[in-house]
Amino acid sequence: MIPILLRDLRGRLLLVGLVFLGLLWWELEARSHAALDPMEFGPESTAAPMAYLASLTMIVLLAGFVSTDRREGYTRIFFSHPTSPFAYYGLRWALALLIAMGASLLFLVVLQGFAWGELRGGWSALLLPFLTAWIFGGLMAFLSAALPRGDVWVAVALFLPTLLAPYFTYALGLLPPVARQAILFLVPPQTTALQMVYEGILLAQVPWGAVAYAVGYGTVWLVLGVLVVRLREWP
Amino acid sequence: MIRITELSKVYGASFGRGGATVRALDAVSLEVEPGSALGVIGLNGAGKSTLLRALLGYVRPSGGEVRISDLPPRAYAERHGVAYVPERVAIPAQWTVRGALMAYAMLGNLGVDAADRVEAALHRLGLEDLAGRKVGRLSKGNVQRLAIAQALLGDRELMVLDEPTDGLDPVWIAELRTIVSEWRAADPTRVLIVASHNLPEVERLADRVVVLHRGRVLARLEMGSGAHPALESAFLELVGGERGRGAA
Repeated sequence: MIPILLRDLRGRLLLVGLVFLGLLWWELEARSHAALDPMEFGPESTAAPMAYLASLTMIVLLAGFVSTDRREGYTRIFFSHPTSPFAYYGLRWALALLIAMGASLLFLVVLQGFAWGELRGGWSALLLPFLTAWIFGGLMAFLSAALPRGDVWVAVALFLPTLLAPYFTYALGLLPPVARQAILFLVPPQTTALQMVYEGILLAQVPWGAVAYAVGYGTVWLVLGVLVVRLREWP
Repeated sequence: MIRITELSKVYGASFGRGGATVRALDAVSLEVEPGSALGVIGLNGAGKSTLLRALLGYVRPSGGEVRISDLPPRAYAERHGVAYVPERVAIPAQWTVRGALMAYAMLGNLGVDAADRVEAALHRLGLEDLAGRKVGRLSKGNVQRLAIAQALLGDRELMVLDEPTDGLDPVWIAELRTIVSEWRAADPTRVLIVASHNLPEVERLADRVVVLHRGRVLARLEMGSGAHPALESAFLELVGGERGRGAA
């Protein structure tokens, strides 16, 4: 089944490749112009672009992965065969996670090759893309199961605060505390737990509480997605 | 093999339906023995497709229950699979004919036999020349033949056909009859359920027919006994009488 799924994902994998190259160029540009702070531009610092790559890979590969089948009616024939929706969509989800982590690992190796001409380690940086892939994988599972269409745009909207973190934090500060807490609870923890994990990776002191929060956040959405798939009827 | 007890299905209120509920099935009870072929007929909206979708476990009963070989329908389908041709066939347009069959063979866990079975199904449905063509470029009749081909991939014990002759030309309608006969003959315990507006075909394929009307079983007719040589006449008489009563 995996070769068939990969064949269907060809166009999306090309898009992931473009994101990969864009982030690589961006990162190399930053390194070529900045006064190189070993903390800011050390091997572990690749965690940030890898996290963007992993998030976007999950969003691109999982866009509409349940909702399109349901909307178009493909499920009618799919699930007359001896397979369960959980096995089928679980495989697609796991494949996306594997590709996101594979792309992140490749990014780490290629970036170091270009930057230094050698591998200098920094493997702990892979923790951050894993967490973001898990978070956005969970979100996509829920959104695609619950919404008839448009899951990808909701996920992109939730991803934007990562790129615009200072503005997002500023805008949050203008809100009443209750609204601020509610938004921080609902949106992915880019500005909180993941920021702590990133700083922890740079300092070689991973804050496991923040890691657990990020994993829990993704898991909650994933479980909700599974429940929606289980409870909804098929068209 | 199939036991349907007091099955009801009410579709909930939605804006599109003006806030009203729709009772698609109302206390339907049926038993289908191994080796038999059941036809399901009725007017549009009588509940035929809902009944078949309940057999696949795609809709959840509002009341009553469905058991197939003592299993809930979804559990049965996930364990054994059902040779199913839906009323509205939907296959990803970017897939090729052979690619689609290969994908369904993978979903059906056909393992090392998959490629051989795909080729056999292509041959049986006369799709060899179209094997490399994208599904989106097929005619309605060819998509229907592809849907029938995927239903034949596995050795299923239950075949569910919803408007199987839709889009088929007369040659392939006759061929479908042969295909279904061969499929049944391969294992005398196999069960066929067929719903269609094509009453002469239902009459040829089924041993027994249930007439659904407004979600209820209006009549049960035995085929091939000479009692109902023309299903169409019997159906029009039954439903015409009911409609007259409804109007009165």
